[in-house]
Amino acid sequence: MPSQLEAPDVAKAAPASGDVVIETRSLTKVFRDFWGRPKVRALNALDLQIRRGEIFGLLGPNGSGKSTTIKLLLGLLFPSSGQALVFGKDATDVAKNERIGYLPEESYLYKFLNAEETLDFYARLFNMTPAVRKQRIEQLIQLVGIQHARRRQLREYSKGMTRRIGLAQALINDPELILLDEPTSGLDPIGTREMKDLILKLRDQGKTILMSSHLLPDVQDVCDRIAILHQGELKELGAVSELLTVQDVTQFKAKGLSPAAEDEIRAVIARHGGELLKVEHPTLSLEELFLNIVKDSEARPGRRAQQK
Amino acid sequence: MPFEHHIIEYWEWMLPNLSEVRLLDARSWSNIGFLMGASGVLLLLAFLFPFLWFLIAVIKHGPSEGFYLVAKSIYGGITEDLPGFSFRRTYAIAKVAVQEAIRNRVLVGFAVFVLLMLFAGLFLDVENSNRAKSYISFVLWATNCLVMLMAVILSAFSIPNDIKSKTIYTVVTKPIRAGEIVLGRVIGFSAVGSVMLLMMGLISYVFVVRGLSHTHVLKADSFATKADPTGKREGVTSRDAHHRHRVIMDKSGNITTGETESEHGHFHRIESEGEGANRTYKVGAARGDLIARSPIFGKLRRLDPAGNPSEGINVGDEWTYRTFIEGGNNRSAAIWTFSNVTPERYPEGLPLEMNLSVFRTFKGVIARGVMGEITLRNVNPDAKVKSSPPITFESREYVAHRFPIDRKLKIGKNPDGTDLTMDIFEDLVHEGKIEVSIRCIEHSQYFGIAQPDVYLRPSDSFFFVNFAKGYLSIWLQMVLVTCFGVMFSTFLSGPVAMMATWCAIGLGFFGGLARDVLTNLVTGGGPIESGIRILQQKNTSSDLDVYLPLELAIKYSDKAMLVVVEGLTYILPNYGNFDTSQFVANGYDVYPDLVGQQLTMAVVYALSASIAAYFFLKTREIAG
Ligand SMILES: Nc1ncnc2c1ncn2[C@@H]1O[C@H](COP(=O)(O)OP(=O)(O)O)[C@@H](O)[C@H]1O
Ligand SMILES: [Mg+2]
Repeated sequence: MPSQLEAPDVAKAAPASGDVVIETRSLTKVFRDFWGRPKVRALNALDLQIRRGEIFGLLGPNGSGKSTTIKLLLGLLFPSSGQALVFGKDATDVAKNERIGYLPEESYLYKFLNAEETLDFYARLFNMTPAVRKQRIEQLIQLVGIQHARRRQLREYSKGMTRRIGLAQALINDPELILLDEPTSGLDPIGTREMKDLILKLRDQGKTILMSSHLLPDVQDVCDRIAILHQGELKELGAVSELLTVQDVTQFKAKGLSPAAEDEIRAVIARHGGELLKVEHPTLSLEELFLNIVKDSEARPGRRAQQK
Repeated sequence: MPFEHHIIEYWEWMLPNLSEVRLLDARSWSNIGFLMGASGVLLLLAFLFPFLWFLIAVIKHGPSEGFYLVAKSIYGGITEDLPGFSFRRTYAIAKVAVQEAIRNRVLVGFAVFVLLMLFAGLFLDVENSNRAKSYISFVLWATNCLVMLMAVILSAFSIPNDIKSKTIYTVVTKPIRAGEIVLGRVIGFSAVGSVMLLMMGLISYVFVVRGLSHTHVLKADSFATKADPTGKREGVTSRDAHHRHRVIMDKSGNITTGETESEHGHFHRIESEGEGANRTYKVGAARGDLIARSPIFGKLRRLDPAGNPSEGINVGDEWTYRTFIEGGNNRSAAIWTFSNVTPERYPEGLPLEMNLSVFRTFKGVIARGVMGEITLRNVNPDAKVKSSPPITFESREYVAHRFPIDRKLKIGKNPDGTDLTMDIFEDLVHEGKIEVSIRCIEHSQYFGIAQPDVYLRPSDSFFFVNFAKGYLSIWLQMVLVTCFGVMFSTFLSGPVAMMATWCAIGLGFFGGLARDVLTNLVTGGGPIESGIRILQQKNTSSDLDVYLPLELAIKYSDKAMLVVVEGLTYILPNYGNFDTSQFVANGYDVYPDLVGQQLTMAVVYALSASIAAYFFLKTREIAG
């Protein structure tokens, strides 16, 4: 019977597509002025697939289209062309919001509410019962560590505290997918470390995370994969280790070698026509990578990354 | 000028009376009724809007995708957003709206109100023949202005501010529906407005009652020393609150009526103690100024001097609301037909009250009113008793004039010398109906008459209830304005949304006015014809004097334009219908049918604006 024949196909396809939480298909956003004339091409034909359980980083300098991408995925912006799919559904679908958490670039919260009122407000938007709300608010205040300021109006909060309450707000519904726009911006090194640890903890709970940053060090040790955007174009895409490793340079670093052994190695290198600098695979610094990309963009405009 | 208003029964207002509607006669269009007029136009918009939206979507996305987009939004609204509606989410939005309003210092508005009341006490306390009226008009006006101002500002800036501060990003990325955001805002701001209105209402009530409260001093030596031929003596009270009252004492020194004469729309009760020169009088509180007459109105028809049905004479300086009947020896009369006239409802007879205005073509006897006569008539042409004998009365101007008619009317003498009487209910009422015919009997004088001028006043309702009804009207306006403000704020920036809301209110007023002008069109023609007349400097009675087909074309395009304008006036609520301050101030009950009309209008327009707001918000690009 045909239905029986088809069934295995569906079963095979389902886990594969179920694994993809976010998908963009040549997603493009052109901002227009009042008269409808194109002003900025903020994002150009972006193709991305983000899989369940990974931490995905959007990396790029200011104005490269990171926030635009996230807003398109949330339905805050409508694509000029292409598609943004979240959980396999159009990004403008309200129902997806049940399973999503979002921390905007700056924490856009009501300044006249205190931490508890803020979380209570957002919890109500998820239609949570009072008992659930109370428990959840307590948990999150502990998690982000703002117990001491729970009854203070947000207008009195420091930047770091604002980020924390913003994150708590994003986690109120225990979301499967968390979109964090520049989660570490404005945080001091300790705050940044804490934020990153929290992100790793969330990943360990099986959540999918999409985060953006213009600081490479902030993404490189948490993200499984990163995409590098520049002027709305996807320039690089892949695992952090792959992207930052300079493949044609090899560095060795050893301990406890005798001068004789060192000489021997030096001789081997010399025999192969090399010169020993330092023995390791170096990683690029933030500036180097960006500068390379910018140089590359100018040399070969329109070059695009291949999905790896 | 007595206070003017059209009495329209609820169903008469609501339902179309199509047999009365003629396409080419603008005056007949008011018969189209609210149901077909407003609901019809709104329904039309409900189809027109998606169509325009579709056209825009086609330009952007092409026909098939455009159709899909529009259809999905509407279908999704009905199948997902409506059943998914959550009161808890709506409440959360409403609560934040209230907190935001309080933070934005709405209480300043309240402080302004209190200050206004304090100053008002000073400048309202002047010589005025009807202080109650000016006090009540003032408080209602002040409340209305402040509450509307507050509603417009709160609602028009709310969503734009959220978009500007981007707080809306964290809200709309939650599973909240656009409808819940709109409704939450409307409920929140209305709640703030309601509390303000309640407080203002209480303060106003106390202000009016305290402001009008006064008494007078009456002493034994305030009376004239000489009695008039009937033995009565006249006295006056002390002058307080810019007036005195006359008091009449009978032969034995008692105050016959137990009351002062009426002055400035009120009177006082008087109690006396002691005898002769030691007699002291206690004058009570003012009465009769804070009232709410609940009149029973009749249907009016008019007879011209030849006794034929007519529209009455237009004396030129009057709005056609009021027409005039000529006095003297002719048959012109105004006839009111009252229904449900039963002895149970009117045990004492007919509690008639009149508010006629008088138009004198010569001075006549200026010291007294123009004389008129009332005849009660049987509606049944075959009845044994066709009418009562005429009862003459002296008209009074500018005041409601009570003229109760006893149940038993003396119509002559029996042979044995006893009075021959007729009973209104037995002899003149037919199937609960009776006609009251009023004529002016002085030659060349005229009575101005309108339907609400003559009515039965069996009992009054409570003033404070009527006062509350006045506030209910303001409340409904506030809710409506909030809905419109929120609607505009879903797609306009704050200041522009505020302007748009003011315009909507202004056009609402103007629309009602325009409709009245349209439906009362007498001569002059529509906009094109009027334009030509102005250019040619021709008055409305001369011919247009252009090529005939052209004239016809002008006339028909004028008509078409008027039909469109008439339709457009229904897009916005007729705010004129919400102005009940004159009822309250003039001491007339805001009649239940009017309350019903207001409620209906408020519900229909609030709902329409909210639904529109829902679609605007749902389909807009929040971060765009
Ligand atoms: N609402 C907007 N209207 C016009 N241009 C915008 C808007 N939002 C962003 N842009 C432009 O789009 C580009 C990408 O912006 P964004 O996505 O915010 O960059 P970032 O990577 O820093 O988050 C920038 O050039 C920015 O100026
Ligand atoms: Mg950004």
